[in-house]
Amino acid sequence: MARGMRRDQLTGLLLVAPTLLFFAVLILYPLGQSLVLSLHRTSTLTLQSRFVGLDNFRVLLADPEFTQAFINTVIWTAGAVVLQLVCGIGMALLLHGSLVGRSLARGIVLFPYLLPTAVAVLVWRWLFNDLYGYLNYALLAAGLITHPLAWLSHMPDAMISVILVGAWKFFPFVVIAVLARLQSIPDALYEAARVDGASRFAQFRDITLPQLAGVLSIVVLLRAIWDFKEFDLIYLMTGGGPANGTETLPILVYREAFQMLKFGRGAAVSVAMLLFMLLFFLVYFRVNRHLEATGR
Amino acid sequence: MVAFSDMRRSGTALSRRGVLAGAAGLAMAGRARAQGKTTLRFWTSQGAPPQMAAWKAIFGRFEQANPQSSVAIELYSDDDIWTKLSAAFAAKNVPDLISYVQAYTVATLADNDLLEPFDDVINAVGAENFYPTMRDVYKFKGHYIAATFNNQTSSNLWYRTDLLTAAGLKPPTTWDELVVAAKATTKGDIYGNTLPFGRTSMTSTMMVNFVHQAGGLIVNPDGSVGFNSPATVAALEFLSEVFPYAPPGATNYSWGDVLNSFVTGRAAMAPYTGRPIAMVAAQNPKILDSISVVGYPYMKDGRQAFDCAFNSLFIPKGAAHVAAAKQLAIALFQKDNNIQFLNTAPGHNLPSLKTIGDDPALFDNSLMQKFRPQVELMIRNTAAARNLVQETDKSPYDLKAGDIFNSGVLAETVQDVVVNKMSPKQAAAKGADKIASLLKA
Repeated sequence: MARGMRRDQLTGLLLVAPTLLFFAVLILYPLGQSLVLSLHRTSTLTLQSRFVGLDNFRVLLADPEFTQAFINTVIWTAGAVVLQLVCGIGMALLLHGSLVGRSLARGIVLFPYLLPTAVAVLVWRWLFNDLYGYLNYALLAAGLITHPLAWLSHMPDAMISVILVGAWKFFPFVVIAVLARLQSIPDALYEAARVDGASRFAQFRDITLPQLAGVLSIVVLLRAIWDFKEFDLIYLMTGGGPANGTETLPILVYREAFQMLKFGRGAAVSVAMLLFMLLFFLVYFRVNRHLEATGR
Repeated sequence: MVAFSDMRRSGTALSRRGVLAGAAGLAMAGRARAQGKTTLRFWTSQGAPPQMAAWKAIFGRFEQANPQSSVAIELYSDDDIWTKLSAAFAAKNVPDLISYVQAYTVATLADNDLLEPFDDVINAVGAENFYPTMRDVYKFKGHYIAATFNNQTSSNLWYRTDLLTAAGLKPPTTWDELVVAAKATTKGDIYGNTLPFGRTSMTSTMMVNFVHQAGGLIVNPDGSVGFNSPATVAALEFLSEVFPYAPPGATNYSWGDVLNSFVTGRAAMAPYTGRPIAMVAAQNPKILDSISVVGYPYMKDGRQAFDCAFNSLFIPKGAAHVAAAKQLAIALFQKDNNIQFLNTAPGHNLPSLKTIGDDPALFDNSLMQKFRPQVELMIRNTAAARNLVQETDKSPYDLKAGDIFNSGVLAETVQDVVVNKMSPKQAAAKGADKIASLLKA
């Protein structure tokens, strides 16, 4: 009996082993390596390093650029997530209703999400261009402005522009998630509400929103995590400028590690980011557990 | 060794073992063919169609003359050079010869002892044949560590002759005259003067030159920081004064934006290398007869100064075929090869060898002939140019030049004044503090 149990345990361990191995190699090792690097002064070029304890973190905390990058990251993340939610929910509701060419529209709405970031940024940079951009051309033609605007060269315009492009690029994710949930809300709920004389707004507030709460909390958390570490879109749009007006933490990591060749300092920023994101993870786990418990 | 002919068929399909054996056989056969032949890995950032065509022709001739060698071109971009170099050094898989890296980067590599000596190449090409500043910028601890393959300076002012004439002005020679000309030519949808004000490498490059033109230095010959000086303040005041006549997006501008604004006719004046010659000819030929160039105006009572990239050629430490890489480097300086490559961007790529600069074959090109006086002027300016690596004759080789340049502190100082509206004095002091901490590190 005991022998059989041991064999079962062994089999179980063997079955779990590949997963554990992948987890160790792909997640634990890089994580540990980042932590170790953040405690060293390491040259990106030679990889020669010297243990400096918490020095990298001390320097970061005293550096106004780090503080500014953190504030920028929070502004970008909050702005982009809120806008994605508003646009995503609105579009999902539109696509859920009866609409001519609905299937085609559902396909087209995914387009920004499928477009490579580099291509999307090129297109937007062209639209925002101060001398030849269509936006300036249209506004000038409409008589709304007298001189071209520098969308990406002044603050807060640059941050607003980046947030708009980020929202445009990533809102289809919200559409997909919300639309899927909308389709599974029983029609009977709306029929009952209509029989009781509920207005469309009341139906939305009292049926749709509560039904969407579960999926929305997951979407918000995932998008917040992904946007918090977004690099390519912002870097390609503004390079972190003007001055360091749109410089976020991932851009700071890149600058420290690959422009200043200070791998340790870059790793320290990454670890700081990880700590911030840990907060998101904690919220995510709590929400997930709550959702599982309530069966949503 | 198993060849395809030994593979047996099982029914109509090849057996799995046979396919594997065949693949292994092919790989071994390929390896045997490659035995005795050296493949030289050549890194370059110059991958546009005209440049690639020139590389292929040049390397084809090299391979004919050296049948034991072949050359494989690997492209990098200026933006990812550090990422690629770091990965190559970490993996101990560096290329044999690297081209077009700027002097700042070479200084950082020298600081980390990551370069092979290059004396053999310089001596074989002829040390006396190089323009002295272009040769000596790569002399470190008594040895050459790289060679200037070709060069260009952005310390030129391109201007529209028609617009200046219409305003009754001559090409400006001082900053004061430049501001007057910029103001006079800002009309309608034309901006008087483009300058890069972004946190970009062009802004940093121009800032080094502006400080030099005002008689100052970034780092003094004794190694102390020279940035917090009246010269830097004067340069920042000039930038602040001329900023209103630049296109609205100039606070994000770098090389491409500055060039485009001039080539498309939206800016009356702009600093650049000789690139506008070919670009205007190709994209906006109607203004081709109305463009010309002078050395970039400097501060009254200051000095004429030029800053350039010193596009390098060097062998990284750990390269697999050092001797063959040196042969390839020498071949790139041979007259036909050198001129063929220079003329892939007429007027932009300028020679580092005196004999090439004097050679009529360099001007055997319609655009080069049309703009011959301008190109000759730019060659003279480039030959007199310096950069942060060695700011004066008396300055030692500045190993921290790359750190200062890559930190973006010079461009940040400009942005502090034009974007954050900080006073030039404050901005100069702030920049100097940052440079001091970089030198200390």
